[in-house]
Amino acid sequence: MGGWFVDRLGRAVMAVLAAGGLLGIGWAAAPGQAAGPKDEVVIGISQEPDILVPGLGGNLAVSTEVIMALFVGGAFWSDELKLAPVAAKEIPTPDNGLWKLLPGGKMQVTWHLKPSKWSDGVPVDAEDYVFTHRAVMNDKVPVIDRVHEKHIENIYAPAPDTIVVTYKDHFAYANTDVIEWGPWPRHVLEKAYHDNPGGLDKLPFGSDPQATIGNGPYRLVSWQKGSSIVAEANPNYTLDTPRVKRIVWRVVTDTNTLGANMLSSAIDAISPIGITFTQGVQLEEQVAQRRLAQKVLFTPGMVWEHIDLNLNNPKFKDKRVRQALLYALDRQALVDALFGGKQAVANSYLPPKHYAYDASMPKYTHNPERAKQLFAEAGWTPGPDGILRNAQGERYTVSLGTTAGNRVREDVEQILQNQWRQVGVDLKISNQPARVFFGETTRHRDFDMAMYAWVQKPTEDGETLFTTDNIPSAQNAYNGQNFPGYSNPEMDRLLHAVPTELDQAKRAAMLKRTQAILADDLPVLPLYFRADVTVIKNGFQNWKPTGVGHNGQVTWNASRWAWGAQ
Amino acid sequence: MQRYVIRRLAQMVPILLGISIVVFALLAAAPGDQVDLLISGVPGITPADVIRLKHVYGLDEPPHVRYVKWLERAAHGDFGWSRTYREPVATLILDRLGNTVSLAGAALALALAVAVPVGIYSALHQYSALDYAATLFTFFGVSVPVFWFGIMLIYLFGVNWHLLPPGGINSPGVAPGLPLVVDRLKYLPLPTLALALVFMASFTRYTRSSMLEVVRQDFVRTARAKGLPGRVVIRRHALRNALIPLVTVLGVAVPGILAGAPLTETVFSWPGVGKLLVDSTLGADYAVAQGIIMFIAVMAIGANLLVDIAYGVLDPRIRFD
Repeated sequence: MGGWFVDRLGRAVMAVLAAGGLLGIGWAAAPGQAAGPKDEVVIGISQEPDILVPGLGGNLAVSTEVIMALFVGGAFWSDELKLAPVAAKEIPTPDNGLWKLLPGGKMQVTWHLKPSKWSDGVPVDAEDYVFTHRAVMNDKVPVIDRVHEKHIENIYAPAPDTIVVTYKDHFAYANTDVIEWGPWPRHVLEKAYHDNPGGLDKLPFGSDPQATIGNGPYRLVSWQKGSSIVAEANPNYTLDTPRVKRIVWRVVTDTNTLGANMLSSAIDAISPIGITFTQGVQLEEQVAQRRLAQKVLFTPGMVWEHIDLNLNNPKFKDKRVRQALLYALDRQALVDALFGGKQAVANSYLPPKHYAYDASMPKYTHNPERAKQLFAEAGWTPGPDGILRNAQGERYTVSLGTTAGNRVREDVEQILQNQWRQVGVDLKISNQPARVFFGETTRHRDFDMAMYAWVQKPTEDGETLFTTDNIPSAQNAYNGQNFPGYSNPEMDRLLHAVPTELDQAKRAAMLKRTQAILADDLPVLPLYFRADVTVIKNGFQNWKPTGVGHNGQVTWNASRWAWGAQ
Repeated sequence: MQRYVIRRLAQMVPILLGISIVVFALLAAAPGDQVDLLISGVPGITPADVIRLKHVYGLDEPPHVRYVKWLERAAHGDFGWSRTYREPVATLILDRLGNTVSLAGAALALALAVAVPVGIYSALHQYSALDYAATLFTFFGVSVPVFWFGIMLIYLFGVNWHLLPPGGINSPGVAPGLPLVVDRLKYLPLPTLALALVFMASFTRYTRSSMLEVVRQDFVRTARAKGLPGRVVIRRHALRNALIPLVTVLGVAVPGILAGAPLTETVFSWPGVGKLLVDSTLGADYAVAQGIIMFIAVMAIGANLLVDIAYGVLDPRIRFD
């Protein structure tokens, strides 16, 4: 009898489940595909921007990706690392007379602006740039990177379309943009800035679509935190005519799910801030298997993976040992095995796209015999177990650390461990969460070997990475970036001189010399340059990832994006 | 009863204070802060920049000073500002809470709707084919990792069959109101199923075992002996007693589920509280992490109190004084 009640309930549950199933099938028609005429592109991103104002806040790459569609500066870097004017009429150079040297080691750069408007219809004025520079240089305003701005002595606007920037010193990269960040709309922000400069990142500006006034090809129309950002073509944009009406960024933080979204056609593209390299390779296979009209792109980039050697460690003091360590590695086999050769071996800290890259650097091609010989010269010979020992019988055991949980780096470590073992190096692996690794370990130089990457700009010269005054120490509150502790007077001289040398050819010559010194001294073992991994549907045109990071996100030419024939 | 509740509520204050100190100390002891993270990997940052930024972000004061400031503001309902999400922490958590509640509510409802009848059936028909099937299912449910199950659901329903969207909470640009609700219904089933599975399994086991125990008790036999129909015996006498352990389990599960299911929410890109906790901890956005943990603490203590009160309702033998 009790069974009757339960049977009834059981049947009811079945009915509910069946109904749910039927409903599920009923939804089959709407799996979120954007079919039909294409006037929008849906881009998947695995992180979410913090604030949509150039320069403010965390300076995250993902924020910059969206910001570059909403704001344009005077000039920008193309995917080929060529400087091109956007809001400016032309790029100032010493030849066109817009870049002048002044007495006392100062200089003056003049910019002329094309007529353009903010998204609320107010004309963009040279005073907007002046205002932005003043705000950025206010210590209360949360701007992280003021590397460019700090060289500026004065900035003023003699006319609404003219900006004159005076530099305190000879600054080689003065024509890369009017100012590093912005412009910000003075008519929107000036009052709030004067009332409370420290609260500039807490305004609706940069987060609320209504309040976010930009001068770029797109304007923010919605931002559903944790879910999606929508930008539409800005009708007041006069510098170009955007082809795609709407850009939608969908935030999908789980990168596996992000890949699934692409495979199911729920999104049209995956941003460079999306999936990992390995996932890109897997996705490429899936795309081929399923015969999807999509392609996975690997764009060589400027992100430099390397291993810092702590030069305070006696085991790395001898230059021959450092060279031996690099000779012992078969980095070509490593990039072939892990990346199918799609990420190139690095022989220098500057990437091949950089103007001063020197292809003639010593390659340190895999040569275990030479490695053993160099170790022997430095006093390290194999013991009975094959591990190197010195005269005191000390084993050559060193530890390598990186950011825990990064699958690619963990795979690299396995290969390194194995390759070094062949020449008698005993490698211990001790990884830490990124926060510990960067927050404590590298800062306090508390490591033997540290593997990580620098995200370099097209103007990178390595000044902060290899000069003596940037070695973290109590004196600079452990805030330097020369983690190996490398000190070489010639390098100090060259690297401090490079950013003040205005002649690019001379700069390149000096940087070639620094690359040669580093290739010989090897305080850092170069590994490879990371590639930007993106996925797009066929038929989407002018999607040109830069690999530059930071100042050159994939949106640099968003107004040129278009849907064409499949 | 009233005095009991008031006493319990008063006890919450020192408990929460203690938790806040421990959490704050742990987060302060965690190596590296938000500024360290933001500048890692960016060349060109000078030591002077770092000092300036630590001051701007309010990280240059000793932890105990920061704690006292935090406590003062928290007492006025201000739990700080999230640098990552550009919102006051309280607003941020409340925003995300709605998403978590809709997911958790759907998952709990589904879990209970399946688990209670199946558990009762299993108990009343012990060793039947369906009982074995239910047992097998519960083992599957508790052993399968939710992130794997979630990805399988996405793979099958989203990628292979194109039946449901592979993650997310709604389609971008849907008008608010009814269209949004309808749209969200498409996104709800997969994460609900993934989240409900493990609860479904454990609730089924609890219902089955406590029902098995109860139906062998004398008072059930008495009820049958006095000639009550079977369904009345089960519903009025057995079920009510069998539900007490389930209520306990539910009470423990609710704060956890309201704190969000970090794995499910992450796999399905469901912007809830759990995902927020994971993201903010990894991003060293400690104001948010601290706020969420305090919120979970309040939920946990509150749920325990509710469970204790529910005992009294379910079991008249339990009295408070």
